[in-house]
Amino acid sequence: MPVELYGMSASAPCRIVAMTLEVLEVPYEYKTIDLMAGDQMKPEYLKINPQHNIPTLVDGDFAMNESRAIATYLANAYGKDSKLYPVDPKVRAVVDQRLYFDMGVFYKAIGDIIYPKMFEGKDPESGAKDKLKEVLGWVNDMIKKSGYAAGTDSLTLADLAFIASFSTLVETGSFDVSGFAELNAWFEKVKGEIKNYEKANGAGATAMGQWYKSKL
Amino acid sequence: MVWAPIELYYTPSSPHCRAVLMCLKALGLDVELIKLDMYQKYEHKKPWFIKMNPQHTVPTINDSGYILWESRAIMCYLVNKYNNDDLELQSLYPKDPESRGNIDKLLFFDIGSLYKSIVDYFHPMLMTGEGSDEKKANALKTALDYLDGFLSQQTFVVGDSLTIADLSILSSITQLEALDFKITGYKHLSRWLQKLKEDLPYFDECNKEGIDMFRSWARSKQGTNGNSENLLRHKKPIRCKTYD
Repeated sequence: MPVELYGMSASAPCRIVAMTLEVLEVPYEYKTIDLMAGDQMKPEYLKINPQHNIPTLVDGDFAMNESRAIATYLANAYGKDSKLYPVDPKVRAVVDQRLYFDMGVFYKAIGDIIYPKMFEGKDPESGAKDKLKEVLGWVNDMIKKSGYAAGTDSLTLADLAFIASFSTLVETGSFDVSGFAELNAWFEKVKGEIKNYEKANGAGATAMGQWYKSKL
Repeated sequence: MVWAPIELYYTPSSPHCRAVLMCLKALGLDVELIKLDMYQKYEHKKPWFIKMNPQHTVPTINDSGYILWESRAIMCYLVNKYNNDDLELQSLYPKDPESRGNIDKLLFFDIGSLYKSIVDYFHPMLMTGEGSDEKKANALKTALDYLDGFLSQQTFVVGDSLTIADLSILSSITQLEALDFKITGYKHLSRWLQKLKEDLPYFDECNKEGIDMFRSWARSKQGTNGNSENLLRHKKPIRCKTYD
């Protein structure tokens, strides 16, 4: 039985999981949970994820949420010896560091720019743009080292998490990213290294961008 | 083989530093503590520290030249590197994908939901004297409800033995205690907290000073901002689901 991914393509965290499945070549079935329609509150969904957020992964009798943890689970379970999540403790730790950084700093800084408009019709708080600029500078420096997000010589889960975040920002057009040369070069290169990129991430990022623009 | 002690750059009042310190102790590792004065001397903004960690955050470790920050990533690294194939140490972060999945899930829940909701709720009240925000209070309550739910099924946050997810979440929950936020309404969470305080031989050594420092600071802020009433109002959980 293929694994099941419950989510919505516009959601950046759901796209991290979809890209991980594509890169690991794990067959999966995508089950759309439409948050606007309230699918996440249906009893059958609450049974697999009482926190009723997305994404949720179901693999046989094992179910879990939290996108970045799902990505590490998939790499541990299906990517033995995969370069996507290296086993060397020092290299893996840098990938983990980037994943927590993505959640707590990078994606958060992007959310602080786009969510107030999308969900509350408000402008971002003062200081949010300066913060994002500083954060993008850090990300650019992380990538500068080797052309990949965790300083490795090939694609890792850190790149997948960063590309889900960065593509969302780019598609909303809410912030001028042209000054971050290495970051833009990395974006163009890494897109080409992810199998079925458009299906797994590109189309959803575009949808998120259109959604944001419709609220302006 | 003799290992040079791991350097831990930290400040006692940071819950994330307390979590890493507990992990070092749980693994029985030697540590050299390097305390940074972040509040008067801004030592984390000094060029030597920024060179090491451009994000200038604590905790940061230096393990014989290998530098890492992000507390949860540090804890995963420490167990991956120093479990010595000892089953008891490995159980802090077991290798099978399902257990790891459950632990990673809780670590991300801590950074993105639990600890985030604590900061979102208390930070504006402490820093600018704003009143209590009901929406933010509810987000915190919801995170605690989930946690209480997880703990209604098992002894620890993941399964029936201590993992790094417990250490991370313990540091967040004790930060709430330092803010005089009572969690006694959450039956399973209270039981778990009491158990860890009693069972972890390194609990006081790793936490007491930092919790006391943070509590004094938070109380002084309540005084200066004149919003103690707002904080007091939430001394009791507003309403919580019970899991039996």
